[in-house]
Amino acid sequence: MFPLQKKGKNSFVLKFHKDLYKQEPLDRLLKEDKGWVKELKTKDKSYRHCELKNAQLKDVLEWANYLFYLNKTS
Amino acid sequence: MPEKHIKIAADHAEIILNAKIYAKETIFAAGYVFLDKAYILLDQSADKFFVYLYPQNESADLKKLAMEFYNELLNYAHYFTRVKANADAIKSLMQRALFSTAPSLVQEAEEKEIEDLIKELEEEEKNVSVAKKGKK
Repeated sequence: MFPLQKKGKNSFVLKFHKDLYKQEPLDRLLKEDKGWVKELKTKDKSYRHCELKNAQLKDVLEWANYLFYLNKTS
Repeated sequence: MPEKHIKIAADHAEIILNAKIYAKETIFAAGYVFLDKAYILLDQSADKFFVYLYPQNESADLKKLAMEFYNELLNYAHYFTRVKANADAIKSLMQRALFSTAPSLVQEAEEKEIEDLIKELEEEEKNVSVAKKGKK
């Protein structure tokens, strides 16, 4: 399942598989970037859904890369 | 082979990996090397990993990028296999290096080993005497 979806004009939804992405780095990033990123409440047991508002694709991908980096190094 | 495991889209490459062959750690290690030239998204299903690579340089060749990622995967898969296979030898070399810089540690280790042996013998003796009592 493709983890990136465009939602509206300048918003995107990223889905992070819970077995791949650690909980702690994602929680930390969500706290740091709460101005433009928020976690969506869903019944999905496998994924965490994050909405990134007022963002360009490049911003979203850079954010995802930073999360990848934190997952690797923490 | 590549057509089955690499899909090229307009702005990204999708790499499909067999989870029985590649471990999650290997994928993260290979991806870490690519952080300065690609944006990476990951997904997984029951027996597959999916890696989505978005090049940071828009003129980059997506197929070449995906093939380079494969090479890096192979590199790290080999590295982790060797580390696992040589774990005992590495441990032994590290211990020797540590002991050579601090000889007192050798004495401590020997004393600990002797203590453990004595405890083991005492326990064996206890078990034997309990068994003899049981027979009586």
